[in-house]
Amino acid sequence: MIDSQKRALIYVAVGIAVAVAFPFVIRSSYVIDIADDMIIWAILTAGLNVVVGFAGLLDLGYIAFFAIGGYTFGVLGSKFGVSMWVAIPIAAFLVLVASVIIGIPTLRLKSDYLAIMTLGFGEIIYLSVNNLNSITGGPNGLYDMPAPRIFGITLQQPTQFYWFLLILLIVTIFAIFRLRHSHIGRAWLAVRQDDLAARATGVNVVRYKLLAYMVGALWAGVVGVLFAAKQTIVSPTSFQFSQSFYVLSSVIIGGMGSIPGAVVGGFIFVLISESLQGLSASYSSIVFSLALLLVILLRPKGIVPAVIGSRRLFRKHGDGGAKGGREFRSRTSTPVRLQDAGDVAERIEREEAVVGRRGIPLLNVREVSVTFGGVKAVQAVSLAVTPGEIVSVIGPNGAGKTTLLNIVSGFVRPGAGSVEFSGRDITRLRPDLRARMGLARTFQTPRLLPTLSVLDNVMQGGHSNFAAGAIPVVVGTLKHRHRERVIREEAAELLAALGLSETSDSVPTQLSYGDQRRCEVARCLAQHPRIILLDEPAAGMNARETSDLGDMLFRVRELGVALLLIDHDMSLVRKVSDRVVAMDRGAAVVTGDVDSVLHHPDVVQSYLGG
Amino acid sequence: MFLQELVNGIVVGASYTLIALGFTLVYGLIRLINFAQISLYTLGAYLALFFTPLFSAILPSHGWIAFALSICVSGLLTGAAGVGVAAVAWWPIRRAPIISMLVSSLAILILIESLIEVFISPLPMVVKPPIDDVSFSLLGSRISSLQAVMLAGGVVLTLVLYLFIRRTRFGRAIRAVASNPESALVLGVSTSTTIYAVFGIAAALAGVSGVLVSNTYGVANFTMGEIVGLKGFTAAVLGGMGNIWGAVVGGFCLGVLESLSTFLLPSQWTAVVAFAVLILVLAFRPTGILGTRLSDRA
Repeated sequence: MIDSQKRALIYVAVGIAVAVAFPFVIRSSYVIDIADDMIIWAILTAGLNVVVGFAGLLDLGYIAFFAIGGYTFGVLGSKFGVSMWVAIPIAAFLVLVASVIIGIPTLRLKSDYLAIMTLGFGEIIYLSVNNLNSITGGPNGLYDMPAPRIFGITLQQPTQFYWFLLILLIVTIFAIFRLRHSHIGRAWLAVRQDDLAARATGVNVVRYKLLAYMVGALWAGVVGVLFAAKQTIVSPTSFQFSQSFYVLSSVIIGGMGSIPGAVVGGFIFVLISESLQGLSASYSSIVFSLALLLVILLRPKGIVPAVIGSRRLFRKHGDGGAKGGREFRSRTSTPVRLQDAGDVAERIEREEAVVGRRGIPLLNVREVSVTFGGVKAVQAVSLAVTPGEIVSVIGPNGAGKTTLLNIVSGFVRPGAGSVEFSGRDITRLRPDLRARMGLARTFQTPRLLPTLSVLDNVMQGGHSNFAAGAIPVVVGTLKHRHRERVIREEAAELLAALGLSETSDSVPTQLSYGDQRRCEVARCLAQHPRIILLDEPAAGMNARETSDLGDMLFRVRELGVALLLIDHDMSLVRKVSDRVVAMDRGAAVVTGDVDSVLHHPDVVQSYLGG
Repeated sequence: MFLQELVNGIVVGASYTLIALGFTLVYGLIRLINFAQISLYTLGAYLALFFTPLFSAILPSHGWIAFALSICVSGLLTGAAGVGVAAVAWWPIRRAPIISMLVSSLAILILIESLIEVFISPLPMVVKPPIDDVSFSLLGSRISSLQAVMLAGGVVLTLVLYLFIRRTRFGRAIRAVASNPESALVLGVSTSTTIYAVFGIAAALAGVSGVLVSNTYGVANFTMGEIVGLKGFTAAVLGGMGNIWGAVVGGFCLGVLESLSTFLLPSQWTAVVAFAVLILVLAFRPTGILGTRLSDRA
């Protein structure tokens, strides 16, 4: 891990050194011009990589934002003599507005609809610049923009643009790197890979999709202005659908979700299309579509596959991974520590005060019912969980236990009844908002994110403890970096407490089934929950593991976390439950303490005796 | 005038319906927007550019028969190409994330278009229909014989497809796979054969549509599928993705809507109408007008 980190730093240093030396060694302005195109294309690819590679949104009209940037400068520059420096912020503003307008109606939908919507958007922008002759110059384009000046120098030569573009590329990579290796990046990957898991850990899916879409648009818009300035002309041919396709190909050929991959993919694209320059432009279409097919079929992760762990640019000595967090560890008495994030602890205390004073249960489910296509999955079920209590729900398969759990966590909306949490009615609240209130859950089959390391998966659970937006993350404010470090240390401690330290750099698919479940519990704990809903945690575990699980649940309870547990394993239910609810055919049949429920004749008949 | 635009809209709607049917069939089965469909429409038109003169030369005095033969052969070959698309864009990566399938079907779209551009012609090509294009009056408006063929083609193929899915054993297999691939497999339906076949059927519909449209307007172009494909997709979403009657309703509604919009907008903006419809439908009723799936209602 540290080695790969060092190696990455060496690559970056060598890359920058080569890039800086390049114009001194190569004097040909033709070659420098190609290098300029390579950088422009790499920036575009890096921007689209955020949208497609991180957030998993298939954007087929990406070039439209590039066009908006280019034409912002084209129109303002040629008609009003506005300089490039003024056009850049205006273009940035315009593309952000456009991305919100296109994003809000579409990002709620499935990603394949997004593909076609963005395709349509790209076509519309292309049609507009091609047909609005009086504004955009139609097919001829615009070409009277003032050459940008800086420090009294007029930027005209490819070499002059080169420096400027190189700085922008470095800034782009730096900013996108920061975003990727933060809670925002983890949320994006969660949204891409597992919508349910993302929402269960408090990620506002639409918001993060929109953020990715805006980040991508921003870079395309800004580099669009530079492109127009460098070319000294903007015309519709630069913004055809095929261009969107080429950027997408560059992302996928380089490696989806991989930042170095985006740069490599962008460079390769320009090199190939330059070397095919003598032939008709459609030869590069043929080559690129074939290359894309080959990559998807033979090397789906691309030339430079994405990394799985979180990284920081410079790892500080001694604060690495599971070994770190000295002072935190000595301060805590329990191995699982939850008290660090100040505002969360305060919130819990505040709620505790309300709950304690009024004697309201932490979770209060009242008469909820839900029907699926005529089948009454859950009928008028009520149950209450007080702080620090362990309540089990048992019942035969199909009794409606998981549906009940989905109602509590917000994934199924009940047709009747209400759910209260911490004294607040949450019946209509979205799952991610419930998660942010302190309601965590596991799934019947563990839903960990396959392309994140185990440690990152647990850190992703800490999502709701972050409030920082994209700008503090990119700037790297002290507060945000502290938060990130706390979450990392806490995740490492949680893994240690659950005996998963050694696996923290693996991907979840390498873990045994029992370890995957434990990892999911660790992720729940990273959410600083008030209650955890566990959907059959003992399924697939042997007797020994189940017994350990019981001990772990007791320890979790000691932290003041309540548990609502569904399981078929009676030894576990008997061991941990304060109260048991027996369900059958959607209804709560019996509620009471363990013995009275397990020996109740109805329960014995419908479930145990059956 | 109004009535004339209405008739034009219905005729155009027939071509949208055929493309929409292809989108909806594949989507109903494997939840994939098959972008390659768009290029198969173009491929159909270019195949007919080859076969129509061939059959006309063989049967010089039987224009109608030559035309029918050309439509059938082009449609069948496009169908075969559709099976080939499935072999690349679906089968090897059927367990990969849907985005891989979307991108590879897109790559096929670009590949076929640029192959046509490079090896046939980058310029628009004149299509000379083998039949005399007489126009006759219908309900007070004019309709040309080629327009009539297009309309008839759309209606007949839709009915054939409906009967095929509703009444044949194979159609039952398609419905079974659409509603639940696992249980279909358990019941002895070969899921993969069914999916390959549906790719083929969808492609053939797009191909026939391409032949009819290029003959009606007398021109073929390697990018002719792009805007029409977007409209066909809009039609499928408008009617309800995954629903055959939805494709029909959506196709004709969109055609008429677009035709009538020419009273308000210059014709180069009609694509904007389709796009606006798409945004509105997706924003307010993403399940479309009929909104049920292939499995529920064939």
